[in-house]
Amino acid sequence: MSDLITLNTVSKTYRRGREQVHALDGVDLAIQQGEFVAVVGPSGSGKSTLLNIIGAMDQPDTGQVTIAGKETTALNEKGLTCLRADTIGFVFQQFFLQPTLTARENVLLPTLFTRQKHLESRADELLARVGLAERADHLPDELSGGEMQRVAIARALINQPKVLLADEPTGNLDSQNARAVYALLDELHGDGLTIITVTHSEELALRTERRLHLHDGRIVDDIVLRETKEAS
Amino acid sequence: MNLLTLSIKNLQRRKLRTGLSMAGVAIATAALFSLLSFNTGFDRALQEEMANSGIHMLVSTEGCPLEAASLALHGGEIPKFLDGRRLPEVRDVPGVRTATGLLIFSLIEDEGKAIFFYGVGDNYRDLKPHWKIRGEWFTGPDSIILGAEAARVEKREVGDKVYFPDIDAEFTVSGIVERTGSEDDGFFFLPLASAQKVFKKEGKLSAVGVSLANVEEFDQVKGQIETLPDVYVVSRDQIMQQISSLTGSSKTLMAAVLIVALVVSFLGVINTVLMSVFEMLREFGYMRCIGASPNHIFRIVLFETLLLCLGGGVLGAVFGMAFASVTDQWLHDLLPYAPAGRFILFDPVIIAASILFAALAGVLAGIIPGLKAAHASPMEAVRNV
Repeated sequence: MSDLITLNTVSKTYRRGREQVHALDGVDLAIQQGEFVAVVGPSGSGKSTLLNIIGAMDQPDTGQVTIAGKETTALNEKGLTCLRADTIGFVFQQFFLQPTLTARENVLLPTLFTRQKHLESRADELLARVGLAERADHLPDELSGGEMQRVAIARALINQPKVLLADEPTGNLDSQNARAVYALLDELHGDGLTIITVTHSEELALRTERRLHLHDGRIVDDIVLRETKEAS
Repeated sequence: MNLLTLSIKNLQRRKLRTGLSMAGVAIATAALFSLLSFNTGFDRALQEEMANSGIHMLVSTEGCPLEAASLALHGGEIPKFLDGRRLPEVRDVPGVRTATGLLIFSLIEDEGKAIFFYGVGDNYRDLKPHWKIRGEWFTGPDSIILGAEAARVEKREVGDKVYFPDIDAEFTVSGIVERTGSEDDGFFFLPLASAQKVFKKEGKLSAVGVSLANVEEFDQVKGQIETLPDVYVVSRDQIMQQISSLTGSSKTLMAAVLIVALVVSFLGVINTVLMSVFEMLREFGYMRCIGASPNHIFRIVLFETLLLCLGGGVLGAVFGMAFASVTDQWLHDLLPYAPAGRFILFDPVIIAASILFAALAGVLAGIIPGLKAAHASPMEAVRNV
């Protein structure tokens, strides 16, 4: 199986007042297509920074990042925008749903910024996939937290990304809604989607195939829990 | 769905704030519409009034002849008087078609409102060919002709008597001039000799109104009249300029107020959209994550301000037209020597210009918030989580 994402000695330093914080310190990493990876670790260990760099939202100070064959450090702003639009789906703890758009319109939001048009039927399919076919015309404030996150996941998938990045996707949900999201991520992974999630949830981490444990900006543990299915 | 729809939906998120900003733009646009209409409407009404006066030049006495002429045409008491012997002399000047003596006096009624008496000669009719008189011209020294508005206010009809206690004189209404849309509507016309007697100015005139046989001979006729003793000749154009200059300070004041209103409204729109941008910075960051370019974000914000100002502009133009009669009345009350005609009329060019101005302001107001939003990095989405 080919590497979808590779990081070579990636470092990122932030300045917090007079103090320098090494968010990432010489990280090497390769993630294959179809993997389901959990990034865990204490607060400030560099989990979110790692996810931001993999998502081409942020650039490393040193090192190389390659996503789907494209080296992000060599891309300009336009190239990074295209990479994010075409290759990566984002799900955050905050759902970022537009309150005046229906669930269907929210799912279609990314298509406003790409050349892909007339994806209404795909949006409906995705809403059906996340179990919200009946709620397509509802506004976000008519949905529960779990339903909003599922709409956010459907939105992340509208452009058929190669990888789904989820930053604490169940952080704002109760256990029942969180379980519905875990099940959905399982299902998407089962269909061959590469998923990388930052999580504090032990339950979600246990569902993944691989767990990266970060501490002080370094990967201190890289545990393969189960083999990625070749078929997927 | 497209970027424009997204902008409309964003505006709907904060209905009260959007409504208030739009109302601010609407008020500023209505003020702009009224001022533009007034500027063209005032000159047009003045020209119509001058044309309707039938007078090409006014002969008055020393002092401030321009102001005297303005008052003579427009209503107002002239403190200096012309010797009545000048009237036949003016009449005899070659090229003069009609010369009529005018004696103007005003009385202040209990409510503080002035009523104007015009003592006019018989040939005054020649200067007013468009007048339609219900009843008759003067039937004797005790007859009076009322302007349409004067008759309405005094509640008098042809044949009624009207008594003025201040001058202890009673007249019989011989005729009522049908509405002309000019200042004539508010005047009380008396036979010249009666006016001179009642106001104790026998042999005196406020001015002599002159109509020319051929307007091209204006300079020659003027030159000849000016050879007469103690006379000053003022042309219709000079009178118009005088009236315009008298209203100039009011126009400047209104323009200053308008500029303040426009600036306040402009800043209000920037503030509203900027606040919205700050509130939505993380959402814009997220949009950057899902493929929005800085240009997309800039356009979303620009559309918002454009819609806000365009909506306000259309509303303002509608308000401006809807309240045109109120504004018209206010301007007539406010301005010295305002001509009687309507200032604010339906003018598609002025309406389009006002709305266009609002839209242009919208584009300009959108630049700062638009640039701020466009610089949102994808990292904004995860900042301060």
